[in-house]
Amino acid sequence: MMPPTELFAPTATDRPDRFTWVPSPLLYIPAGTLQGGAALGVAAAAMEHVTGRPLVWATGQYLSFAARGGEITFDVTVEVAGYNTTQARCIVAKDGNEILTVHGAFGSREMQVGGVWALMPDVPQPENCPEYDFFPRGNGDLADLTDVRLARGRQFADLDGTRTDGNFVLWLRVGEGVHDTSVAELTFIGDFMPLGFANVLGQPYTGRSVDNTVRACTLAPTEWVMLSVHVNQIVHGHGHGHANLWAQDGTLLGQVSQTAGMHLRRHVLERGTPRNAI
Amino acid sequence: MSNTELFRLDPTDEPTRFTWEPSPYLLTPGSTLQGGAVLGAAAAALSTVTGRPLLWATAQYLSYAVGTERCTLDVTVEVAGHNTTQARCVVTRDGHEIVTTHAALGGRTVEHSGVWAVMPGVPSPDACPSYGVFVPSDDDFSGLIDIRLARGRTPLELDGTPGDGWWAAWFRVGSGMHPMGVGELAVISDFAPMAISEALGLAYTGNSLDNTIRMGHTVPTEWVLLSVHVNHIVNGFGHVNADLWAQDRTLLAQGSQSAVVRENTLLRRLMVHDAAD
Repeated sequence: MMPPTELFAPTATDRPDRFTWVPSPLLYIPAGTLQGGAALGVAAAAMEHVTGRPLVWATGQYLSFAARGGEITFDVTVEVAGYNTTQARCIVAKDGNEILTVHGAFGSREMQVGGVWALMPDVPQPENCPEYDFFPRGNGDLADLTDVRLARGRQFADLDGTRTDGNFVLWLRVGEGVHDTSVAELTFIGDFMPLGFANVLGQPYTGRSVDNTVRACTLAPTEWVMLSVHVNQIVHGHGHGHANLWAQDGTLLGQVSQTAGMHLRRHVLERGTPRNAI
Repeated sequence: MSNTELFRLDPTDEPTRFTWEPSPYLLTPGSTLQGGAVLGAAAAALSTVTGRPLLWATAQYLSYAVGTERCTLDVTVEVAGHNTTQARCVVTRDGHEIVTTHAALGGRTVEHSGVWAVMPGVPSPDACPSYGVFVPSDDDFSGLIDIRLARGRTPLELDGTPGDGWWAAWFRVGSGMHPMGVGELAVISDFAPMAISEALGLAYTGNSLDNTIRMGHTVPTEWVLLSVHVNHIVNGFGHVNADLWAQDRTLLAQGSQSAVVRENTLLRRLMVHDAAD
């Protein structure tokens, strides 16, 4: 299997601010469209390359679905470059159509003070957690790339209409063995956050993200990443939530947040690939 | 000055362009326009053009804007669907971009909804001490906003001991019950980096790189509780999440942002002053 570093690696072009990328089929969701978190992650990698600085924060605005096949282009613009921080943007397009635009800040500063105040939930190790039975395997999509274990919450099939306390925890593994994590792997894993909406509602919903925001912390090697989801609110047909991403050694890797439209899963499956996908 | 007046935009000949003269009450003590206020004005422009209420918006802060000179807001609708519109607003002054906002606006009819965030059990605003960091002035937001410390330490109690990262304060923008708008919530949410001092136990704050807001139900209230959780501070940057609650316990919105962590000179001055006394 392709290692995560290769999965999310943009290819340089003869223009220093432009990159291309042909996504692996393993980065498409079962509906046949490119997972937004993967595109955000590759955009972040392109922006880090151009700015020469590590990501602090990035938000992707999701505009269009990208159907299977074809090359994606990434055009990076540096808006403001200061002593320590660069504000930049990246337009992600397919066949000239914008599918995602990313705004981000990059940098690193010497500072004596720091710390982590988020708390890692106390859940069983991934080996002791059941497989999360949501994405059917064997179709050559992200279900064949990602090992997902349920650490806190209910299986989708067990949703019975009762609500929970808003917390939902998964372990996710992209490739086997301990490896260096990247922002792209975090945004890919972070985009599983809307799975928490169904769990807290006790209803068979899935979320279609309108945005995806990542804030990077410390990238540490790990095999499994814990996605600890906190659903804040579901209102006006949209869910708002955030999640912390933890390495197995307790390092806080980053945090994500997003807003997603709530759709019954059976409707999404019936519709298949959206008609307006590019 | 009412909430509506603070974020009143002036139309132009172009339906997607507005101008806005910020009130001095939307300036920071450093005389720069508060980023949350700009986000609020952008949200007003986006809602006017799309005809839809805001769901989510993220502002990327590019430049400081000093003073109350008029700003221009240009809205672009990127995708307009049955229920949701994705749009952008570029805010400039004298042709220089100061903030760009990306947003989704709209809503869908879905049978289920709910709130899972938990409002902290804190005293009512009247029973909370004033958070005495800003010297009241008619030249900046200190003349507009009343802040009461609901959870955490006063500036003079910061002794170098890290806190649990949870800080809450009541904010009042104008007196009396009034309808809550995105602008007022964006202004209040932009105070979230003040929690950094509580987390560190030191006189620090943050200069925002971005400001993200996700809207809940907007109900009338006099005070808004800003309940902030500092997630982490690393490599000189802090990341915070906040919930904004009405007095009747309605979740109005959620905010999050990343900020450059800096020593808070206002806090430092207060502490030095107190030590000298």
